[in-house]
Amino acid sequence: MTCEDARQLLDAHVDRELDVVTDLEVTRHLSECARCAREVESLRALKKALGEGERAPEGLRQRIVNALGSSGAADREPVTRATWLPRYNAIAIPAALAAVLALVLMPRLFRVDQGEFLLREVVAAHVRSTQADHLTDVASSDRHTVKPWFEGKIDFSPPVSDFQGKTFKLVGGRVDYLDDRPVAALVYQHGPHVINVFVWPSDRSERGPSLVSRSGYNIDHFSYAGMNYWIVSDVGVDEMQKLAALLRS
Amino acid sequence: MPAPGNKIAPPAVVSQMRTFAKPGLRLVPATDDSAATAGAREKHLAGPENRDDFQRTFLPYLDAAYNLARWVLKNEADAQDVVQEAYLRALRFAGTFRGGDPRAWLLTIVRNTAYTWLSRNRSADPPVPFEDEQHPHEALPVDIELIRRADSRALRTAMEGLPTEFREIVVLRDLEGLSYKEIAEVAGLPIGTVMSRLARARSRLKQALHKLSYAGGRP
Repeated sequence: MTCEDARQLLDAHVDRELDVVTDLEVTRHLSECARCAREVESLRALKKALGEGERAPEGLRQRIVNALGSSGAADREPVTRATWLPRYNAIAIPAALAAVLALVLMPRLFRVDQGEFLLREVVAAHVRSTQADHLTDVASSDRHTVKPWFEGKIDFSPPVSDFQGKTFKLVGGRVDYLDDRPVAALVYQHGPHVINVFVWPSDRSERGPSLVSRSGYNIDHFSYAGMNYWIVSDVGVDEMQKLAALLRS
Repeated sequence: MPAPGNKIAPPAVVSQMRTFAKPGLRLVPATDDSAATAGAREKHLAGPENRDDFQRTFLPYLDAAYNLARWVLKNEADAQDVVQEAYLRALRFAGTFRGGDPRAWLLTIVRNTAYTWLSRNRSADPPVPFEDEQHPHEALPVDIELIRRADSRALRTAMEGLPTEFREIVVLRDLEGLSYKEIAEVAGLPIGTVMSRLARARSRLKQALHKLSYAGGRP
């Protein structure tokens, strides 16, 4: 291991974040290189000086417990009591109203949450795939290689196009896990950008593209021909729309 | 009322987390929590017992939440408001928590809440060119003894001098002991970026301690 390589890994070495083999290599380098050994010593000194985080102030915990206890609508005690009603009605009527409201509103909230959660899952899956050499399990620009590869690994056959002659190049595929199920991830390249297209069967009717962005990534989602498509990438919106159009054609 | 001890969530809590799963979601087949209890779960979610579960799961990470908010905002009072708001948000979104690491989940919300608060309440910090070091290769050789002797005031000044994007990584790693992977999750960054920011942040901290010690007239 060269000194230059080792220097990039000193923080991870001190943090015990390296795999065993790499860590041994760094350790060997440290026994030979006074400069890196010194750097490691200073990192350890710094970590020790920083110590641990402080405790939250007294009172904050109680303040939060109180706030949490009073934030719900469904089981909140009515604040004022109407004098013209029997006592129990004053509790029962608002409670029933709150319950009805909750029943009406909660599925909507959940739907929004679920979408947002899936969005984050999709972005995380994309980010993970671009780290640590786990972009593809089958690397091929030929759809006749990629498509059969999925057979037996997932319970559906994803449509795979290699867009011959287009600027989007099929790089390969892998199996990922989203929305509580194994999904097909098709990996395309556009210039230097990696694009993940996640595909799994949809039980919903067709849906047009809806483009959003999260954490600097553009995400497009639509349902087409019985499949859910999620496209994630750091390419521009125009390219995203072009790819979505190609996938739907 | 004395604050309860800050303990790591006991294993039992892990099984309780399922109660946050939303009804109607396809759950990973679970042997001890079949679909037959879905109705019970739904009721559970709206009831006060759920709030107890929520507190048992997430209140143990109050200190971590407070530290992150405090260092992002550089202010103790604001941090308390932000942490309270974050817990309320977390309760509202508890339905989206499906197992996993409750600390990372909570800290993600705290971080977002803190940044939202910053953008709403403060004019943006003067832009700091945090991606390029001004003199990356001219870093002074730092005296290790000097770091060891650094007092809390010097450390605080050095920390507050860091750009927020760097500071939060140091807080999560060195003060709260999150793994690189957890930090990547909380900050929404690739692991490579976490690593490079952490290295730069520490290098800057060392340089700052060095300068402070000379500026303060001490050897």
